[in-house]
Amino acid sequence: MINRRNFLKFGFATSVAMSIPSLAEGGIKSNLAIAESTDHRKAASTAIEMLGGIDKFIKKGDVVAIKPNMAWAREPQYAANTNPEVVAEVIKLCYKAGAKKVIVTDNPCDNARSVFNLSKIPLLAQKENADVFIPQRRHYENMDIGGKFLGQWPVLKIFKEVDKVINIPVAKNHSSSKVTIGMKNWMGAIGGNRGFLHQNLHQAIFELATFFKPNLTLIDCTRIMLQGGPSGGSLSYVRKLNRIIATTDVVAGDAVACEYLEINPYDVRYLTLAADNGLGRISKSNMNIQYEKI
Amino acid sequence: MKRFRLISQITFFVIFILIFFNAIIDLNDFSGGFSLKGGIKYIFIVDPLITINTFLASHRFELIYGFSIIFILLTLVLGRFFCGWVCPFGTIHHFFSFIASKLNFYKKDNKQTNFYRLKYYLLFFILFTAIFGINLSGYFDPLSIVVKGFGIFLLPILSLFYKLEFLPDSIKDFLFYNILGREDYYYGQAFAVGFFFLLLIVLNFYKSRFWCVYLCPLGGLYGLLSKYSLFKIRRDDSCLNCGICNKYCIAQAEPGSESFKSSECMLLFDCVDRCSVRALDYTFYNKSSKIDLTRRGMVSSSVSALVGMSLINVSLIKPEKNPSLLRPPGAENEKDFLALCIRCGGCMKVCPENFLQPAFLQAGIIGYWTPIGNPSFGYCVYNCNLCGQICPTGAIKNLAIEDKKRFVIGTAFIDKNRCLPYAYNVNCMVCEEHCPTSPKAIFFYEHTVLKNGKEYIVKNPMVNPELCIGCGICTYKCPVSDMPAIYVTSIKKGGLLT
Repeated sequence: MINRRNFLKFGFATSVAMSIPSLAEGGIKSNLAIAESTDHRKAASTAIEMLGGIDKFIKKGDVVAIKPNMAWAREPQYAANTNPEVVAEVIKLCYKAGAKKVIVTDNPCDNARSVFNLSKIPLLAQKENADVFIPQRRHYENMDIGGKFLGQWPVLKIFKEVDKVINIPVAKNHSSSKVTIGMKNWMGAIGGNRGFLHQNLHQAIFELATFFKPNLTLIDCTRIMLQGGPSGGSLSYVRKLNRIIATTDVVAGDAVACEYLEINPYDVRYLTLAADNGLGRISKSNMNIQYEKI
Repeated sequence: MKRFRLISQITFFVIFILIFFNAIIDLNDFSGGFSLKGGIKYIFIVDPLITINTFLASHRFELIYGFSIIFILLTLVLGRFFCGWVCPFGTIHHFFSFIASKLNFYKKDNKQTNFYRLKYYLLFFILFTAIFGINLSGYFDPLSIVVKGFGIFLLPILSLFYKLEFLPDSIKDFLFYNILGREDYYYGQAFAVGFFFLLLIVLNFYKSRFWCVYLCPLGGLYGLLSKYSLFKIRRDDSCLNCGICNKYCIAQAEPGSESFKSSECMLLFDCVDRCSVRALDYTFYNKSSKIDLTRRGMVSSSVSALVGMSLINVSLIKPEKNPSLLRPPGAENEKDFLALCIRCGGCMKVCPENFLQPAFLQAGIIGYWTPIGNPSFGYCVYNCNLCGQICPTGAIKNLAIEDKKRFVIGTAFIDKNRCLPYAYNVNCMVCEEHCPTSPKAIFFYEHTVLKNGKEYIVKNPMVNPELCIGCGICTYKCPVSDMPAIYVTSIKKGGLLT
């Protein structure tokens, strides 16, 4: 909950993090850019700009695949899927940076047509000339995830074939993994019997986040789902935060978004698992957080 | 004339194909809701058998089926042109009969039999049972058979074809977006539907257009009407009695004899074109031919209808006693549903998650091939009402999407012996996460368990029967996939949720 107290705490932590160099883990801190605006497109573009601009991530002629969270047959206001405006803005920026083609897809949990339709992401993405397609069986390929728990598993090929990958999750509560943000978003890029993974969910999420290496992660906190996740369905679960977090460290991004969801990131096992294994930083003191409100 | 007939047959067949395959969800357009590019209703509006029989069985009549009056009137003027010039199933038979004749399958003489009367007896049988509320037209109507044959048999075959590894992506995409509309086509009864469909086609190799000449009840209905048709094939005095017209008459109408049966004549015009002296002419001819239906046959068809009905009724099970009888959303009352459903399989064709299946005996003998939902194959998509949109007779009501979301088709139950949190004390929550209703019909109650001396919380799922609509997504997605730990049965509160 972003009440004044939490906000001050957050601001304090941010300023502390910015002023005192990290003692543990020594060296480079993870960069996080947080932009807030009621204009969600503006928030997205500003966050990317603060992180160094889209040109830092997308080069001319790149084929870019975008992985939004597009899993549930819910309208955008329920925050079950990524905000379509944010996805559209990123597509626009990619083309501005000279991308050859931008592709948007996801393996949804509900019926694909129903999800693609209601989430409004494909509609807005197509308006920005992105390719949107419903995954068919041939779009998956068995790949070696290389984890202890996940070995061979069917993966949406496109996210491994393109030049650049951008991860655009939405921050949600999750009744099994506590939160679903950036790391867990990669569950949508695989096929197979995903329900099976729920029994060792944290390990699976960690291994998938290690396997998929996006060039940029943009966490959609314009609307966040505080309970009833991941699929929600009631506006009472949703809080309008109007923020976008841009980062290349998905663990750090998730940790910050966790606090928006009123969850201590250290209570989320896949985050501590990731931090302990060096996938990213969970501690604020190891982050370099910029915040801007427009 | 034969050339015109061929053009007409091909044209109407193409129209049929277009209507049939156009009844598909648009997978490229993400702007609208769930809607079909077209419907299959227009296939059946030329079919007075479906119209009359469904009206007799259900006492309901949809205005659009009034269109079949035009075909009745046209038949009263022209004769049984529908069979020879329009019917897509007839065209399929004609095609295979042509192949059979080219392959010299018909070695015997085209001898006359009385079996052509069978179709009239079948017609009486069907209409007679309809009076008692049993709609058999779905099994014997040619258009229903061809729609079912294409939808339940041909599409699964094409989906197998689509799954071939070596097929280029462009062909796969074409099949996916324009023909199949989804990847999986699994029907338990596809074999039986296919067998029936193929059997009728194979019979053409015994006798050309076997189905049309001997069995088709719609042909029988049009035949009865064409007895009084104003235009007929007429033989004039220049006839040499060579008999070549009779030999080439597929329909066994005997145009070259005194006993020309206009009710059998499908206006194929083979006789007119073959006649060397042009003795045959299609012209105004106001002499009603007779259909020599025997009184014995009439009586026996009526009696067999009664006996058949008794047989069906003694074996009638109480549908509410069958747990797997999940009817599509919009099918309100089992009795009306059975009277209205014409077993065309349209709903199963468009169901986006392969939920709807042709029933085996879940609804009794009389419910054979009617649609039932099977959550092991798929689930009922929350925002979808395509089955109601496509249903040609209104057996599945075309519900507004908000009503569809509240329509209860069954209720979910948890098998605690197999459900992972109950059986193994591990968290799972897949069913809760997928439950589409708001608030969710599946909720948790948490309890603490001790494992290795450490306390932790396990969330056990429970179903709220007040909220469950029986869509079956929980069953379909349950990770205990061989025999899901949550299952849907047909018991329900009934009607819409409030």
